[in-house]
Amino acid sequence: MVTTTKQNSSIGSKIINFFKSVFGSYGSVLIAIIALSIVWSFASPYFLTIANIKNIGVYMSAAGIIAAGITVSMLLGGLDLSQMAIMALSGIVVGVAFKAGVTGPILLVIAIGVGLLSGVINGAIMNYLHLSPIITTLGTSLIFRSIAYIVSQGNMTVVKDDFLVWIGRGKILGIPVTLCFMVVVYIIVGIVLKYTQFGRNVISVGGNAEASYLSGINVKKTRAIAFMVSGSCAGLSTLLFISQGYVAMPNAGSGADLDAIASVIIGGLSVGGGRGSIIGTFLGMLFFSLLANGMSLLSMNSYAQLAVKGSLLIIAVYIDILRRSKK
Amino acid sequence: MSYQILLEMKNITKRFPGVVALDSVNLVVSRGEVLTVVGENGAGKSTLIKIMSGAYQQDEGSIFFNGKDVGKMTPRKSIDLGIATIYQELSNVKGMSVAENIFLGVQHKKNGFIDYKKLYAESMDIQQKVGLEYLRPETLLFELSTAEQQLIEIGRAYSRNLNIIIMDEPTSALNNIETEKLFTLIRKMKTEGKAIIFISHKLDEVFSIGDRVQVLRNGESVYTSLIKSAKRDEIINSICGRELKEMYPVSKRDIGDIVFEIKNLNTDYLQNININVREKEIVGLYGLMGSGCSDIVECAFGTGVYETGDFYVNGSKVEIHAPKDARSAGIAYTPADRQEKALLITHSVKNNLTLVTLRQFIKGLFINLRKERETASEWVSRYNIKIKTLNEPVITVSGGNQQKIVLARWLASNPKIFLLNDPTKGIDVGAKVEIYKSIEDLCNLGCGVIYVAAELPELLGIADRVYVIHEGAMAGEYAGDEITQKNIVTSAIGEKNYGNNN
Repeated sequence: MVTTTKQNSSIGSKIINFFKSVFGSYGSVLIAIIALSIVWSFASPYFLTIANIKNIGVYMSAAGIIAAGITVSMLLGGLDLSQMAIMALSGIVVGVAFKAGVTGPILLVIAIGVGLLSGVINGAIMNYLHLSPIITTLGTSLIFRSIAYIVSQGNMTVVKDDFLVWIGRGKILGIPVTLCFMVVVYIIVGIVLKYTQFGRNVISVGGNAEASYLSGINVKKTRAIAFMVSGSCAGLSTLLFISQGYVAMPNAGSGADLDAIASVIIGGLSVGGGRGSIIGTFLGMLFFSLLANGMSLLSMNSYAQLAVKGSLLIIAVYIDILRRSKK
Repeated sequence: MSYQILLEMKNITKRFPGVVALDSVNLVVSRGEVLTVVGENGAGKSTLIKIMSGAYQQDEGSIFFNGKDVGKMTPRKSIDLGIATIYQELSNVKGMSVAENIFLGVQHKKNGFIDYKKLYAESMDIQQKVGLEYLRPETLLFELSTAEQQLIEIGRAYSRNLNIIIMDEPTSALNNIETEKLFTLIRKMKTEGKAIIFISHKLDEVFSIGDRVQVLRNGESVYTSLIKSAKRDEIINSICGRELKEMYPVSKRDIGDIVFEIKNLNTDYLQNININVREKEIVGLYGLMGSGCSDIVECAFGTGVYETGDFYVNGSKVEIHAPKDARSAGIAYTPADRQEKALLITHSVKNNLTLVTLRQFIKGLFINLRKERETASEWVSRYNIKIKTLNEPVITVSGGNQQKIVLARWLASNPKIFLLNDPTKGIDVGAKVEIYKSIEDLCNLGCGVIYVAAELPELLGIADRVYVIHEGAMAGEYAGDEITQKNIVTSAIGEKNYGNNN
C-alpha cells in the first residue's frame, strides 16, 4: 500500500517535473500560444470549433514533418536548405510512378525513398568533398529542383489514389490521418534524439564537432544519417501535401520550408547547432500554425500575412536572446 | 628610484548576486613599476582588472588617478586616462592588416578616403616601439603568430596615450623566447615611465619581471611585498590559503613492462621519432613551441598525418588512422585546447562526462539515462569534481574541474595509455596539484602516461623519464637524476648532440 502511493506520487511528480521543465525552457512560446489562442477565440467565432482545430492540425502536419527534419539537421549544426527541392523531386517521382500504375502504400515508400536517397547524396558531398552543409544543400537544391522540372516538363501530375485519399481525408479514432503521421514522426524523432547513441551524437557534433571527433565519435557517419533523416522527412511531407490536393507539382514546397525553419527557430533551436529539442519545434510549429489560421479566419491579406510572420520571427528571437542574456 | 603613484584603488568592493567578488581591496601602482598580481582562478583578479578598465563598476571604494578621485570608471574614461588592458583572449580582427589593427577605430582620412600612406608610416613607428619592425604594415593578422598578435595589441595601446598597461596572463600562449622578448619590452616600458600590472600564474615570471607582488585570494588582498623581500613559499601559501607541502605530490611507482611504442614516426616535419612508455610510467615530452611534441601525440591518436610510423600496444601492432581506432586500441587523449577541442562547452557536465563511453549505457537501441546519470555522478565523487549539478553547462565549471571531467570521461573506456597535451594550461596552482594527483591515480591503475608539457618545472616534478624534441627530431632522453633543467633546456634549444648523449 505504502509503496503504491509512493510510486504514484513519484510518477505524478515526474509528470509535474516534465511540465515544469517544458515550461522552464519554452515558457515564452507557451505564453505566446495561449495568448494567441485567447485573442483569436475572441476575434473569430470559428476559431474554437472542432472543424477549425482539425484544420490547424492538418495544416501543421506537412510543414511540421519538414520541421522535424530541420530539427535534426540544425541540431547537428548544418541547416538543410534542399528540403523543398527534395519535396518537389520526390513528388514528381511519385507522380511518374502513379502514372505507371503504382498505387497504395508503395507510393509512400517511393516518396520516402527518394528523400532518403537525396539525403545520401547530400551527406556524400559533405563528407567526401568537405563542403559545408549550407553550400552543399544550396547546390543540390538547385539540382534536385532542376531534375523535378525536367522530368515533369514543368507540368503538374494528378495523383488521385485511394491510399492518398485516405491519408488526406481519412481519420484514425476521429483524428485526421495526416496529423497522426506528424505525431508519429515527432515521437520517433524525440525518442531518437534523447534515447539513442545517434541522437546524442547529433547533439554532440552540433555542440563541438572537433571535441566529438576526438572522443571517437564518427562525425561523418552521424552527419550522413542526419541528412538522410532530413531528406526522408521531406519525402514523407510531400506525400501529405499531395494528399491534400491530389497533384504533384515541380514547384512544390516553395515557402513551406521557410515557415518550417522559422518555427524551429521560434521553438528555441540554436542556428549554430547543439541546442534545442523536438518539443520546442512542436511548440514553434503550433504557434506558427495558429497564427496563420487566425489571420486567414480574419481574412487578412495573404501578402500581409508574410510580413506579420517575419516580424514575429524577429521579435521572438530577440525576446529569446534577452531571456538568455539575463541568465 | 622615486616612485610617483599613478593609480590608487582604495577599499574596492564588488558584489555579484550571491558572491562578494572583491572585498575592500587596495591596490597601488606607480610610474616605472611592474606590479605582479597572482591568485587562483576566481580570486578576483579579472574583476579587479575589469573595474580598472571600466567594464565593471565598484559598489564601494574609490579610484584615484594622479591623486585625483575619478569616481567610477567607464571604458571611455579608462581609455582617456591612458589605461590599456591586454586580455588573454586577444581582441583583434584577423582579416585586417597590422596597421589597421594597431589603429583599430582610428581613421587616417584625406578627402574622405583612407590615407594608407600615412596609416602605414604611423604603423611602422609603433611597430618599432614594440619590436615588430620586421613586419610589413599591410600583412594580414592571421599570418602572425600569437606572440606577434599580442604585440600588435600592445602597439594599439601605444598608439593611444598610454599610462598604465594591464596584462592578463600574457605569457600563457608564448614560448620561452617569445616570453623573453615580451619581458624586454616591459622593461623598456618601465624606463618610459609606464606603470605595468602583470597578472600571472607562474611564479618564475613574477620573480623575473616584477617589482612588487600582490596576492589575491577569495576576493581579498592577502599579501603584498617588494619582490626583493618576497619569499616563494609565502607567496604560494598566500595563494592557496593553506600549507602546500608539495607542489608535485607524485610518488615513486613500480614501473612495469612497455605498454606503448611509437616506432619510426616520420611526418613532413617529424624525423624518425621513437618513443616508448611503460606501465605506470609518466613520460614527459618537452620542446619549445613548434618543436613537434604535439604532432607526435596527435599522430598517436590518429588525428595527425604521418608518412611512416608504427604503433604497438602491449607488443602488438595497431593501426591508428582516426580517433576511434586509437580509442579501441586503448589510447586516451586530452587535447591542449580544452575549450575548443575537448568540451561541449554549452552542454551539461553529464553529457561531457559520458561523451566517450556512451555506448556502455546502451541497452538494445536505447540509452539507459538513469544508469548514465548514476555512473556520471559516481565519477564526479570519485574524481572529486566540484560542480553544482550534473545538468549545469560545463562552461560554468572552473578550469581545473573541466580538465578533471575530460580525464574522467576516458577512464571508463579502460585505457592503457593516456596522451596528455598540456593538461594544466590556464589552471590555477591549487587545481594543478589535484590534476597531478589524478595523473598519479591513472598510473596506479596501470596506465602509461605521455605528458606533453608547456612548463618545464612540471616535468622536473612528475616525470619518470623525459624525451626532448628539437625541430621535429629527438634531441635527448633523460631518466631519474638526469632530469634536470640544464639537461632538458640545452637539448631543447638544440645545443646538445643527441647521438653523443647516448
